[in-house]
Amino acid sequence: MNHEEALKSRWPERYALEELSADEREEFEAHFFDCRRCAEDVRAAFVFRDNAKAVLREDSPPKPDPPGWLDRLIEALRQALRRPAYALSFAAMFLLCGGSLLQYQALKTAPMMVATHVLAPQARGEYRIIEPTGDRVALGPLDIPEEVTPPFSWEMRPAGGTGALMAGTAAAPPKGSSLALSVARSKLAQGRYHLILRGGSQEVTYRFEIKLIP
Amino acid sequence: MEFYSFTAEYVRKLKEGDAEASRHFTTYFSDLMLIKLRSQFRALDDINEVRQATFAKVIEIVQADGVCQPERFGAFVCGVCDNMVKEHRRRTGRTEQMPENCPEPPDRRVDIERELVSDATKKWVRKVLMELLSRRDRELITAIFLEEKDKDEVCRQYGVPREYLRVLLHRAVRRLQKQLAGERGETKWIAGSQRV
Repeated sequence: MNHEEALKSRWPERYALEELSADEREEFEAHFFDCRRCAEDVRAAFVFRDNAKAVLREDSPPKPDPPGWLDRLIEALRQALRRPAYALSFAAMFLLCGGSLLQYQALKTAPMMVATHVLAPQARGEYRIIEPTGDRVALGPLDIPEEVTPPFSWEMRPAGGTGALMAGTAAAPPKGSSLALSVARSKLAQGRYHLILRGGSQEVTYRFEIKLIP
Repeated sequence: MEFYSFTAEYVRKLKEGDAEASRHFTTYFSDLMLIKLRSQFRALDDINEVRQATFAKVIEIVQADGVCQPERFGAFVCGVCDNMVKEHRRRTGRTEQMPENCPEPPDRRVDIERELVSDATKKWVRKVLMELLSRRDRELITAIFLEEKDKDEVCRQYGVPREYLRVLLHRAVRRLQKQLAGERGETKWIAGSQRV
């Protein structure tokens, strides 16, 4: 099995839906342990499945207890008598007990606004001041020196820190386009950061400082 | 999830105890093994035992230069995991007669399902369910995943083919991946080269 065959036959989805036979499951498991793209698809499918189950469980109203024997007896008597007064009582009881309607919380999302901030390699000690105003901050366009060539890898860390807050990779940009890093504003606390871009065994550091507007 | 290429260099670093390679090895295969083993075990304890045994065995073989095809290292780990499952079953295979009228053992699958659940991810899954899927698609997902109804029955009820369920899951997963990529901070290309 190769990746294209797996995608075409939707094996990641069939695996997550438990549709594969034992032999197929064994074959696909050997494949996705090797194929990183299928591994990510499989992992994402199970992450979605388990989290969706948790969300739906949380958002569903509790099921009412089934009526006991006395309630069933009373209901049977009402049906047998078929008097209008009892018919109304039955309707009221149905409304109280009936139907498990799924209710979802409405999510309100603020409109997305992105402000761009050109970043050039700074000399040590210089930090580009950025005062984010929208939900997301575009760090860039990045002024990339010629010797730093794609494909790129990048990481962002607090100034003076050693651990990366976030990291990623990027391929060569389309002609006429620049590279920018889009970050959720909530991810950037006030303070100084280094954005390190690596490519072609060279690297460049962009220094910026987040100043939050009170 | 970081993606490494499985090469002779990767195996060499693992043998030498390189911290980054070791960290990637355990992180990358931990979730894959959880996913693989959940169809075979109901208790998280069993899965954890097999995972740990697999990690130990793989490192033992790596140390002994026993990995013949480094480019197929993933499939090799999968194979070792299968062997560890058999050993675990052999070791714990003796069963005791359960007394009559004893209470049904608790379903431990919930513990396994919790491994991949987090508040942050639930937030994005809720967004996908609420804002990006139709009501019918939400009902299908509820029927399949929460209520665990028979899939053929659900397809008959909603008048959709089985392929529709696979495409629905594919679309929902892609949307979640997009949301999570946005949350992590994604690189993007913007038109032009504007300077302020």
